[in-house]
Amino acid sequence: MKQREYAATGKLLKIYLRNNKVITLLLILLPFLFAYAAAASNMAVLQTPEQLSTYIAENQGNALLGTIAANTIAGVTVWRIRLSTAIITSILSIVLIINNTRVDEEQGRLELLRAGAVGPKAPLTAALVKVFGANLLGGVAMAAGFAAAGFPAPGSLVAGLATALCGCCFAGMAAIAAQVAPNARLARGLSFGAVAFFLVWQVLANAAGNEKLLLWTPLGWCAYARPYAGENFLLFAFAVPAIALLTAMAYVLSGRRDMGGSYMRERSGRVHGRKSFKSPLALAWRLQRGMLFLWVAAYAVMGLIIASLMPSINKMLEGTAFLPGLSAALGGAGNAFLAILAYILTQVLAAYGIMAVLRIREEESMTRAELVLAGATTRTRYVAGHLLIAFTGSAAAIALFGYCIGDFTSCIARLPAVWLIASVTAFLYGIAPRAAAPVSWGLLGASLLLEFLWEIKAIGNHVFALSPFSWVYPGVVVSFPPIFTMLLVSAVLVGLSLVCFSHRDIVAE
Amino acid sequence: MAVIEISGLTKSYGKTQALRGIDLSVKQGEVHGFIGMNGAGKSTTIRILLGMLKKDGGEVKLLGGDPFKDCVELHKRLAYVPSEINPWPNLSGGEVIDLLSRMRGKPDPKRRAQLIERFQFDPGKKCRSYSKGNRQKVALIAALVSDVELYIFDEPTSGLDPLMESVFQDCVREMAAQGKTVFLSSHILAEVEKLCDRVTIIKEGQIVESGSLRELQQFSRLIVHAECARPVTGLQIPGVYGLRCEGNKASFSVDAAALNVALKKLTEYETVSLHCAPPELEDLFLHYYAKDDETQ
Repeated sequence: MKQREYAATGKLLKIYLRNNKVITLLLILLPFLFAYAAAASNMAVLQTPEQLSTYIAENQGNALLGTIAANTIAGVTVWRIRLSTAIITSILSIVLIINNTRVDEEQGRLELLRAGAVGPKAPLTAALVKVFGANLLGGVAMAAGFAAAGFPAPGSLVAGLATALCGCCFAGMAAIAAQVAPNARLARGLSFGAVAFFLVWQVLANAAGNEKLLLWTPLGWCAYARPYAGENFLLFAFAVPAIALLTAMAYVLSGRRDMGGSYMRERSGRVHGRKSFKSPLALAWRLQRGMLFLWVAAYAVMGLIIASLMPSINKMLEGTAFLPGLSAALGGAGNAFLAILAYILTQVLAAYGIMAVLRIREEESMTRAELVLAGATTRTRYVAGHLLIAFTGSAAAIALFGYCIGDFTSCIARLPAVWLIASVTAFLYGIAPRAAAPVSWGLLGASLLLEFLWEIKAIGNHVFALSPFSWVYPGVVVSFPPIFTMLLVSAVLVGLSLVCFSHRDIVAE
Repeated sequence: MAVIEISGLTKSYGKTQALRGIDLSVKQGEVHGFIGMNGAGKSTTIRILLGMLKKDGGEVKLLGGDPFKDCVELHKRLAYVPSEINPWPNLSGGEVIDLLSRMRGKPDPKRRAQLIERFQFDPGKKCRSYSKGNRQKVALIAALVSDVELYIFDEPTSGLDPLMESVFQDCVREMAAQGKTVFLSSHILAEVEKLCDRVTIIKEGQIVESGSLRELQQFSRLIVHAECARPVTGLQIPGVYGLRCEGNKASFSVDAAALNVALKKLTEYETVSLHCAPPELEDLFLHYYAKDDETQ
């Protein structure tokens, strides 16, 4: 009877491999791309031994990235990407594991599968096999990326495998979280919390300069294994049993609970709504605040980090030929760097604007808009609540960032470009809700493409002018006519959106 | 006074015609059943009444106003339970009940507590963890907690267990006793039969019948089950439909006008037992839905 516990694992694996194909592919291909791209760019930049030793001297002892163990380009390259690769593969592994465990369970798919001739341990096994396999392939791909750049094979393989084991380790933790937490959201939260915890651990270990502490954080495993610097195979003797232990715990926890059960109580909600919870705006705030806080906090933190790094960035850029034209226009390479960064973050913020506006569309297609509109509220009030949050939220994010880096005015001056894009999304939602998402994202992509084409001089200024970002491009003198025009167009689009939405059918599907 | 007055209402989605000119009247204080198969146009009609959809043509009056233009004022006077409800997963049931009922007007906290008790509902859980029946309860309690003139229910009991179904039926009866108007779309015919004063049957975007159950029964055929001493052979007379004879037994439906002739004929075969009754709502419903197939 023993092997029946795993019955149909292969069949489930086939099904799981068809889920989340893009994430799975990213998990395999990104380590290769990171490895190869970083190796190629380092080899192009650090051509002489002097350049290499200067680079190492400048970067040695970075608290986040740790020590550069090997004084070679290979050593520098693996140092540069080991943490980012480990974090990304860990996050992807967590998402994949939770999707094929708690999410399937929450949505009733697991029950459907388990009702067939499927062993009780088969679903978890199939999910783990898929993610472990993808991680190992990703590790091999990473090694191949280094090897393709001509780095020594043993070090490349150790770096790749150590990174793969980090992903597997977080997959194991996610498998435990999926048993412990009562819903997918919390399971994901717990797992990401583990990544954050081990990241802090890793920074503390780096700051303390104690390499032995790195063994206790999977994110430090690649550093602990010392690729290209006398590989430390002891890591594998620790990591493999550690992952096996986590996996075994997941199985035990899984075997001891009911379908849909958990070891934590679902956090209960309020029995009564707050007194103020009675308007469409209050509801919109409730629905949007999580994403809003996340974006605003991210922009504030980035602003603080960059502000704290500015002295060393200024020193680094001193005397270099960093964008000479822009630097001259803005009074220094440091200012040019800040302007470019703020500009890119403005473009990224446009994505927030689109997502926040599209939230209304999601509400409508999930038939929730109907619930609200069946109450005594106008459609205008309903949409305006969400738009208000999208617009003030994007303003708050970029304003805080500007305040932190000490360049409030020019950051705020770029806001109309974000608002214009959000307004286009709002307009589309009002007039043709099904087209809102694809067309909005398409337009954002098109404006980024225009910029790229303009930068390589494939198109002229007048074509690039179609992109709202062209009017706030770094170095462009901020003048009122274009900003005023963008604000005016935004206002008109929002007005049209409200009018159109008030007169169209509510579509629920 | 009519609470809902619809005449010649049309609505199409692209090429599909959902409503082909329907007429419907719901009087104040009545419990009105609105029945039809899936896709017959029930929800479309209701969503036009709520101002979610714009009509293409015809006249619609709701509580004396225009459902699209006067929606805010009208929605203060009505409560609605949709057929499909996906409440916000990260809000608790209690919060959703409060939000929806507060947006309509001032809900009565005592009534809220009573309803939660009667429906045996736990308002302190997040909506994501509710079963279909519990999600349905969220919408039902949010609607019933409001003291309004008109209640519109679109298949309100589709996820409820029989016990909760009867709680809902009690609530409807209480509201009817208070003189409230209830417009109940359903395909649980037993429920409509129990609750409704009048019934409207919709089929493929058209109203095929409307009236009280008694009226509908009068205009339709009676169902006859008879047993005779000899096999029944000569019943193929005008007005008798769906005749089935098995041995000495015969069952058929018959137009009221032809009943006497049919009974005379039956007695020729020495009738031993006879059961003759007006059709139940289900028979009526099937009758209207089968009409096309018969004529074709």
